[in-house]
Amino acid sequence: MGAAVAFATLLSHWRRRPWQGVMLVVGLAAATALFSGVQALNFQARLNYDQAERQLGGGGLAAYVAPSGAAFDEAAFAALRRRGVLVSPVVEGRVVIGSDAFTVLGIDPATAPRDAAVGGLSAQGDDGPAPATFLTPPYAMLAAPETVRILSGARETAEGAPLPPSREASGIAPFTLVMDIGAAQGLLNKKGALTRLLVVDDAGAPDRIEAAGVDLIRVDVGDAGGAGALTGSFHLNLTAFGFLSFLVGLLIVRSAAGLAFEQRVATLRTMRASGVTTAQLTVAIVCEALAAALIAGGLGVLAGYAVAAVILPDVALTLRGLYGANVSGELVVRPVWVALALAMSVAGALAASAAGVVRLRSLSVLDAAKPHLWMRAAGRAARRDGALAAGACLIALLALMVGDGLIAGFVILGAALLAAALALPPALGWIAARLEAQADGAVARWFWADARQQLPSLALALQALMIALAANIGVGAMVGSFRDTFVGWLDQRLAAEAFIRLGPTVDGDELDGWLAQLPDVVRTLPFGSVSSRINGAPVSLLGFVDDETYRDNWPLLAAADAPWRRVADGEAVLINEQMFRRRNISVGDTLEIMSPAGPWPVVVAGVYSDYGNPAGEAMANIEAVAARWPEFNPRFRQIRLSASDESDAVRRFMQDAISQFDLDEDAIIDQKSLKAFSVSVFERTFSVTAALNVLTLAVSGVAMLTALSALSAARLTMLAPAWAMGLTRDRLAGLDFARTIALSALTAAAAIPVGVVIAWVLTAIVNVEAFGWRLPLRHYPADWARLAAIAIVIAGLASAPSALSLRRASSGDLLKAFSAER
Amino acid sequence: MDERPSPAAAPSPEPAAVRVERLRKSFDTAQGPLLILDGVSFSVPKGGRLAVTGESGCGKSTLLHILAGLEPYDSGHVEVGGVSLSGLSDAARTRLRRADVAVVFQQFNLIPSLTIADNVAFQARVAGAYDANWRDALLERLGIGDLKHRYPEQLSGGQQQRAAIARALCVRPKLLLADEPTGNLDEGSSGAVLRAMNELVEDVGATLVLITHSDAIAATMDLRLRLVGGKVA
Repeated sequence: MGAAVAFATLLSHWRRRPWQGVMLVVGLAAATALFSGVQALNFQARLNYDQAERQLGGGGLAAYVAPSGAAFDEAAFAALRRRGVLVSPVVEGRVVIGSDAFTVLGIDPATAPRDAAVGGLSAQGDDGPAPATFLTPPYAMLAAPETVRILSGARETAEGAPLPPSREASGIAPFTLVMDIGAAQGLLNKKGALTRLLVVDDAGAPDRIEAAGVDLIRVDVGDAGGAGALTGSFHLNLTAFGFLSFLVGLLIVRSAAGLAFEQRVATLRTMRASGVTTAQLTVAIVCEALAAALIAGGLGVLAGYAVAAVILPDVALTLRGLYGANVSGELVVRPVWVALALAMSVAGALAASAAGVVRLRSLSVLDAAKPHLWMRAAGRAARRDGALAAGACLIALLALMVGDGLIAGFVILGAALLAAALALPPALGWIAARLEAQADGAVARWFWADARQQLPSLALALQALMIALAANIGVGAMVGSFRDTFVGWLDQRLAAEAFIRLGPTVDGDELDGWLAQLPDVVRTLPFGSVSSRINGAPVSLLGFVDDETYRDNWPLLAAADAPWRRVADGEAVLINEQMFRRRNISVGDTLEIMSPAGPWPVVVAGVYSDYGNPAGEAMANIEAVAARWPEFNPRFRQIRLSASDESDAVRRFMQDAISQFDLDEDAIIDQKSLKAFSVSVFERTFSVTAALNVLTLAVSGVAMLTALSALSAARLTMLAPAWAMGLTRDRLAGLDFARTIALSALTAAAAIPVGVVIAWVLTAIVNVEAFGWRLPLRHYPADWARLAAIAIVIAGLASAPSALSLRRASSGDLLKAFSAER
Repeated sequence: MDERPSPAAAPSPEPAAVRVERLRKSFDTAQGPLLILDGVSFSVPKGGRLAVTGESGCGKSTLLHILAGLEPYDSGHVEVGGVSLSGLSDAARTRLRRADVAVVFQQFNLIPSLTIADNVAFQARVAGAYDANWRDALLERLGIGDLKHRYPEQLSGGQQQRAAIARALCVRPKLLLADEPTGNLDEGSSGAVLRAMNELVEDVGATLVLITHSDAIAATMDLRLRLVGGKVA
């Protein structure tokens, strides 16, 4: 009975102060929305990775592949079946259709294991096509409904190969086309070739394979490092951002709940004096927090879904661009992330109200009404926060000195942010005290003294603002450094004036002959790639011709003596930064590249930056590659033109090439367009980060508004004595406004060094672990100024309503403050 | 202690409503312990009305808080309705206060987010002893029946104090503790409120312990206790 009455009485506070209630719910909903939105994205992506891994990895079955990683003759399949080895053939590859890349998966329904979801076939039940349609020309191509929609109207690949009719089938990963192996071999131009043999029955298989004399190696599930493993760091990044947003949102909730507690101290005391026990009040406070959590959590989940649905296409693009991982652009509601978001909301609300419960239990009924005890408690809290800040600093330093990997990076980030947030109120208090001591005049001194008095109530909002600003500065510096480095790198690396991709109908020799007789063409540089393995790890091996274009423009991060000459001699390779860092390979090391002609030992002559490429890559002399990979056919050309600066001449050349060889429009591109395209992909890649940055700042703005609106009633009581002593309401309102601006400006100044530390951790630790490359860190003072201005605008907007309300307060309102004072 | 014979001095078949023996209470301050109550003893029979007077800072409010179970004490013995407060936990003291003891604070202590009607009903609801007719009767007899749907901030100080008295009596307490209940009122209002409170206390058969600065008010009570420097004068 007592708890129920207490609960109803606590709720009556929000009826009388609906705006404060709205802020509490908005804060918690915003926190939940950002967290649940990020979780929705992660769940969606993982769902797609699992689908892809199930299908491409053969439904969790082990497989046999060629040691070089290249395709092998399908005779191996026949040889093994003859010896009674139960394997099922698969051919896979990538095709470009329109402007999108798709994974083609060719399977043999007759031998594919029934209980494994190879190609998603076993999962489709009755909605799949009839076997005859699937198995015989013109075949059928199964794809997820969303993929079929993307493909609508497409009749052939970018290389001109005709596509089988597409059919919708559920359970297939996005951007994946499943078809009969014969159709896939035709589409991929791999007639008679396979890329893997799935092991249907493992019993005795290794011995029989060895006896059959087939040169295949076994790959177990997970060896290939699927999209899930490759993108793990990206999702960890996203999750960290989600937590950061949640933390900022939680500060709003903590701020609103704390202020509500302060405002209800007298009510709590009255309830206790009227016979409500501490236990009953605790139950009432917890019930109130749970009610807020469920309402706000529900709203937050809806908003999170909306946020995720809006940014999912960009996330999908990022994952495709950075990792080649296919993620659907359509969001599916999963009960697990809804439950997780609600659980986080409940945990957040309980955490926010926990401080109130602790204070309620530790203070007696009469103590609760004595302001000096609260001040003493606030003083103790400040000392405790200072000690915690020092502890967090220590943890950050320890993680920096002895930690390793992505987790250590996040520990440093979290500890540094926590330390900075905890140290902010005492630091601002110290600055205000110094300014108070140096101020001339009574009003100026009162201004800073009052600022100090307000600090405890505004502390959480200012901490939220500082975290949001520091995160913006840090992430902004990381993205800015990346953008500048990337653009500079593109300028260097894309030195040729035009680039051509050869379709299957274009004869390379014929094209080269035509190019050679054009007066504007200075040189033609063919290149192409093959799949291989280096020291057991899958790698893409690029074959290129030795030319000054590379020597002059291809930036190397580390190199041995005369790297280009050694590569040209066929004795060495260059490797990309990702391989260099992830595999711990050094310049001068000898690697063993698996080729159809056998192991090829080469020396690492240099390391090059390869931004945007998720996988390991190596560059070797084109003739050396051709000598070891008989199927190698360089399908790309870099064209050096004499008319580099005359875009009309480049355009004319491209038009001539298109008409001469019937090339697709997107098979040839000039340097300027390619750079613009690459930069646009980059910008879209980081649009997610930008969106989360803006949202975090917006949430911190809500925190400020919450704190100030909750404070405004109490401010009347605080300012009434100054009014009574002769300060006009206009001046008081102006001073109140200026005080908030001053505190926000000081907070913005404090956020800059914290942001610089975050930027350093992101570029030196997190980025290297997550993407495999290290960026030179740059700083952007103009961005700092812009963010400081935004912080001041946020503070101005947040404090304007309370300043206006003070300006409009009647003499009666101010006098009431005296009579209501306790 | 008293100017009239104390009921506690005469033999009584029932235990006293309030019995205090050698009560000591001090507060910690920066300068060391500050003794507020120093060996205070008295008793009040059931239905009795005691006025506690004394200068500011003599320990009157502290004494009242101790009787209400709101404040612990250092030593001595305090019994309310035959129940010793010494061994009671905070929860037990709260339960005792909920059903048997009501307090009228000097500063009203109304809950700002509840209407006057809900404020008055609050303690009775918590105690499970709510009677809407009794609540309305209290409001009418205290002259604030037409204000019951208003919030505390919409009432004058005198009206808020009447509401606080109504809330205390709504639970029909056995002991009513009132801390300067008319301290914020003018003389005319003060007399009217006090008369109404006395009548209602008699109606519910409660014992009244009232703290006041006013000798005139103290003179209307059955018993008087004057504190000087924490001791009974």
